Amino acid sequence: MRNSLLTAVALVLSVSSNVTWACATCLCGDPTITTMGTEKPFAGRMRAGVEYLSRSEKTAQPGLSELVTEEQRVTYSFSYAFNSDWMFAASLPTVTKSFSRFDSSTAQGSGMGDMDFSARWFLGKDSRFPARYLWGMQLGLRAPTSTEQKNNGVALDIDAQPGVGATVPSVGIWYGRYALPWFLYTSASVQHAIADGIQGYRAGDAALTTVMTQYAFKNRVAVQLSLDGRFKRHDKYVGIQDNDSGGVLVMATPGLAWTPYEDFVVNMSYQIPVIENSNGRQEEDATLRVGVAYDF
Amino acid sequence: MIAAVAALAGCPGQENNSAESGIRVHFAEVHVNERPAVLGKSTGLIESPIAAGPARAVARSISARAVPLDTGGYAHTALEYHEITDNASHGLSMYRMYLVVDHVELVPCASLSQLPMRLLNSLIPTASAHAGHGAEPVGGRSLGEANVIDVVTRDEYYLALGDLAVAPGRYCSVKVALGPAQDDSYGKPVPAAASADDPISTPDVPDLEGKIFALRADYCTTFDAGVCVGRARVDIDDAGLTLPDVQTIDFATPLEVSATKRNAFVAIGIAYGTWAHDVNVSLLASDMNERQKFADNIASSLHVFAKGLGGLPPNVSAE
Repeated sequence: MRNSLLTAVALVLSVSSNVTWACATCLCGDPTITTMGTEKPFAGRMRAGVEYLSRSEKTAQPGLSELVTEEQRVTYSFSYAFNSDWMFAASLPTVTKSFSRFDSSTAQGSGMGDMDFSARWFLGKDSRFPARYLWGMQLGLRAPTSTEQKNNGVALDIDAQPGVGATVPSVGIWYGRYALPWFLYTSASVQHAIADGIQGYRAGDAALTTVMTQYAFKNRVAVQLSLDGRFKRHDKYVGIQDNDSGGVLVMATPGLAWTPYEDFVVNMSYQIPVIENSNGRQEEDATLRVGVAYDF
Repeated sequence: MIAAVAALAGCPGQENNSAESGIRVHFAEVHVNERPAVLGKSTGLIESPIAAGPARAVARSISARAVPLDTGGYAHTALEYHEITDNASHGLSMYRMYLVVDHVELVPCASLSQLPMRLLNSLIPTASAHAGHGAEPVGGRSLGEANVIDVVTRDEYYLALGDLAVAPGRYCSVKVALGPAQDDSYGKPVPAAASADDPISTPDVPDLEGKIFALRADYCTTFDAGVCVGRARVDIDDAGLTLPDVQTIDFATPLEVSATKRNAFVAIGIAYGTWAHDVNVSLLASDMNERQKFADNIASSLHVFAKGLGGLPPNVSAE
C-alpha cells in the first residue's frame, strides 16, 4: 500500500511541465507551504489530498488481557472555500485494522471508516495583504458511515472494525501566523460522541490540541515540528468503562513538507509519543504519516 | 486519473476480513458426596478423574406403606435431599443448599522466566475472570459474575459456569474463590417462604443477597422402633462466619494450552459429603464454632473433579 502511494506521487511528478496548474499561491498571495487543513481561503479554492497512516499500540496486561492493534489507513480528503470566510472539507478513510490478543485470537477487518466533515470559519485576520495572522473556529462532524465488518457472517470484534459507527460532533478554535519562512499553527478542539456506535462502543470525550511550527527553505521544502496532544476520557462498551482507554497522550511530530510543483504538496511526518499518562496500560507506538495535497 | 487508480490499488480497506478464535478453558462445577479415589500420590488436594457410571438419583420414592410423620423438621420422605453424616453419626439431610462461587483463575506453572511477572502480579491484583476481560457466557452463566450453585441437584453433573480466555502456556493450579451473591449473580434463586405445615413440605428459598452459602436441612432426633419420628431443623448460613477467600487447588499434571491446543476444560468438584465429618450437626444452629468448622469444610471440599483438553465431557443421562 505504501508502494501504491509512492507510485501515485511519482506519476504526478512525471507529468509534463506543459500542464497548466492552478495557482493557489497567486490567488491567496502567500507562498507558505500548507498541508491539508491549514491553508488560507479564497473564493473557489479547491483542494484534494490523500494521506497514508500506519500506527500500532498495545493495551491491557501482558499475558492476562493484552491486545496488540495495528492499523493502516488511507484518507481521501477534499476541501472547498466558498469565499474568504468559509472553507468546507470532507474526508473518507479506508482502513485495515488487525489485532492479536493474549489468548492467541486474531482478527482483521477492512473497509471504509467513518467520514469526517468540517467547516472552518475564518473569523478574523490582520489588515495586511497577504494577511499574517488568521484565526477562527472549526466545526466538525464524524458521521457513522462505516459498515460493521463480518467474517463468515459473524461480526468482527470492535478492535478490528474500520470505523465505530458513531456520530461525533466537534468544535474548536485555531490560529495561524503566516510569516514566511516561518509558519505557526495552533488549534484546540473538543469531541463528544452523542450515541453509542457499533457493538455499544462509545468513545470518551476528547480534547485535541496542536501546536505546529514550520520553517521553509526557498518556498520549496519546509521542516516542521509539532506537538499534538490528546486528553481523553475512558471509552465505554455497552455502558461499561474500559479501564485501558483514555488519558493523556502528547506526541512530538517532526515532519517535512515539499512542493515539487506549484500547488502540489507532499508531506511526511512521524509522531513519537513523548508524554503518555494513559489510563490503565496503553503503549502507543510511533505513527507514520505520508500525504499529498493538490490545489485545483 | 492514473494517479488516483495507482493510489487506490492495494490500499487499506480492500483486504479480506479474517478472524481466529483464541484459547478457551471451559469451566464447570460438579458436586459429589465424596471425592472419587485416585491412584498415585495424594497431596491432599486431589485431581479426580471423571467418575464412571450414571449419576445417582437424588429423589426418594414415596413408599405406599403408611409411615409416621417425623414432625419438627422437613417432610423427609417426600422431598429431594442429599444426606451427609457428622462425627456423632447424625444423618444431616440437606433439602436446600446454595453455595456461591465468586470467581476462578488458572495459575501458570512457575518458571524462572516468569518470576518477574509473578512478583509483579503479587503486588498488582491479577485479572482473572471478571467483567470485560476474557469471561464468556455459556448456558446462561458466565465467570464474569458470581455463580450460585444448587448443591441439592443431581450428582456428577457438569454444570457449565462459563469459558475463560487464557494465554498459551502451562497451568499448574486453579484458584477458586467463594464470595457473597449479588443481585446479578448467575443462578440466584428467587426467595420464597416455606409452607406453614409441620413437617414443612416446602422449605423456604433463602434470600442469598450478600450470602456465601445457605442451608436448609434437618436430622433425626427421635427414633421409634428404628423409625424416625422427630426431626430438628438446621437452617444456617454464613452470617458472622469467615470463609477462606481463595482455595488454590493444584493439578496432578499441568494443563498445557497453545495455538494447537485451543480448548481445555476444568471441572471444579464440591465434595459435600465431607462437610460434617468433624462437626456435630445438633450444635450447628446454636454454636458458631461448629458453624465455622462447617464453613471451613465447605471451602476445603473444593477439588479438581476433572480436567483435560477439548470441551466439557457430556453429561450422562440420569437413571
